Amino acid sequence: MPEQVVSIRPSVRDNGIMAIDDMLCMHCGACVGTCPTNAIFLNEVYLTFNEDCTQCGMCVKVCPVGAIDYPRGHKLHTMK
Amino acid sequence: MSSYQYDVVVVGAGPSGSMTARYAAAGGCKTLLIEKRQEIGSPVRCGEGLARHFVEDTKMPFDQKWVGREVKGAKIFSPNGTELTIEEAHAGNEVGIVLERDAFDKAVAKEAAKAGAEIWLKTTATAILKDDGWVRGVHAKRLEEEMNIEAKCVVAADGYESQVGRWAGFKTLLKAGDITGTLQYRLTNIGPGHDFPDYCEFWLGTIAPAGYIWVFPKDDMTANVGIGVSLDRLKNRVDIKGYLDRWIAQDPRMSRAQPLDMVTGGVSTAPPIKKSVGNGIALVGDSARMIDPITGGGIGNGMLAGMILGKVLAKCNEAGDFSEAALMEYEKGWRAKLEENLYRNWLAKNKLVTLSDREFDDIIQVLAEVGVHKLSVRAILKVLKETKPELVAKFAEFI
Ligand SMILES: Cc1cc2nc3c(=O)[nH]c(=O)nc-3n(C[C@H](O)[C@H](O)[C@H](O)COP(=O)(O)OP(=O)(O)OC[C@H]3O[C@@H](n4cnc5c(N)ncnc54)[C@H](O)[C@@H]3O)c2cc1C
Ligand code: SF4
Ligand code: SF4
Repeated sequence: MPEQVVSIRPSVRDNGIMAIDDMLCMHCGACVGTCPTNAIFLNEVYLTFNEDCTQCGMCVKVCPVGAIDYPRGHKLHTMK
Repeated sequence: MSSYQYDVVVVGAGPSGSMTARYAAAGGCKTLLIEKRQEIGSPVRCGEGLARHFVEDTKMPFDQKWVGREVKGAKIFSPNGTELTIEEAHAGNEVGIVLERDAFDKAVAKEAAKAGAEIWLKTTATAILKDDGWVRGVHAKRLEEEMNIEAKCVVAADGYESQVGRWAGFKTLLKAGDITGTLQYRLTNIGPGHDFPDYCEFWLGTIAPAGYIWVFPKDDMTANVGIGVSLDRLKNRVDIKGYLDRWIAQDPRMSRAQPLDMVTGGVSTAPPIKKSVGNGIALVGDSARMIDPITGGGIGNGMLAGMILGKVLAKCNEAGDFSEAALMEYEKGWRAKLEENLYRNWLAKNKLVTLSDREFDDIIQVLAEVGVHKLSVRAILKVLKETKPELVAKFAEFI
């Protein structure tokens, strides 16, 4: 039985801080204006998270399309 | 690196920024309006409802091009389906015109250009220039070019993200209970019912916790159908979409409806911010959290504040003084027009979000029986107090 090697969605970028699904994201900025530590950077089509993030999860919940998740390995990670 | 000099640089060409640029330029300021997108007004991130009076208040030349549909009024639905109709003459701030916002935002920018403002697209402010307790301009990127735009005053009109203000040290942070996540589809092939498409609809209750679902008609079979849910009621990823999709699935008018576009965004439902001006900087519109906390409407308030700010900037320019003290005239001006209403509606919102579906049903039932002639929270509460005081015990302090 061959071993399954990778099982993350190809559109998900996970920088160990938080994860963003580029194919879901609408680049609307709802997460940016919500983040209490200003840890989200967005320039119309590219979104990423920096070390100021406290993994509070506000962006995960406010994102209307569910494009943000905790990073892989985090107990609250839910992206398949 | 290149460098440019202006009297005023406005960051963000939404309705608030363009209106500010228009009145600043008209008053003689050398004004630059920068916008990070490649097209003003697009993609649309809005339900597009606007009360007519804001158009007149800000002297926007009327143009059928930016009118999607004019409605007769508003309908409010309680969780059990009880319907309250309010005719246009009495409706509050958010109904009247359903805009074509991509065209509308361009029309406001056109007025800014006519008044003499320069507009740069694909130009993103990436930092502010600070010196000696003063904001002196912004650092920006325009296509490949990195630049400093020096200005006597920076206007932060960058919308919900509110980054420019935060860079300058303004407290535009929001509490979870004052944040609403929104999702909207423009649906077409909507069937008849509830007098569609003559009214803007607001659906209340646990279908949209501490928020509501709206149906704003665009033409006789198309509408913006959206939802706002308060962040403090959301538990999991994609909850918002779940709420909206479930509601659409149970409305018979929508059974064959198909989407033409999809919109997401953040909306603040916060009390007015403590401070909106500093030495060489002013905040306006969504970036200054000027959205009405009950309706979520922010176009009109932003334009009104932008007009006030533009006029004050012209005065500051004549006096050669863009200090915080000089800019206070703007802060006083917008507070006089908007603050009381923003604050009251924020307090009222905090009570409204505690109502159960039963309470909404009872309240709408009573209102539908006695009729409402003015869509304002206070007017509604007064009607209720006279007919069913026990229903509004929670709101005693507002009456
Ligand atoms: C789904 C939804 C439905 C809504 N429905 C309604 C409604 O029916 N009626 C109503 O009145 N209001 C509604 N609102 C609120 C309304 O959209 C806003 O209040 C309104 O757009 C505020 O205008 P503004 O000019 O302040 O900001 P915006 O319209 O957000 O404009 C900000 C501009 O700044 C630009 N920008 C941001 N950062 C930078 C930067 N660093 N450099 C350069 N440019 C930058 C952005 O690209 C944008 O163009 C809704 C909002 C949402 C999300
Ligand atoms: S809230 Fe969601 S859709 Fe909007 S920019 Fe953030 S990640 Fe993208
Ligand atoms: S988890 Fe919290 S701190 Fe981290 S990016 Fe999201 S909102 Fe910001």
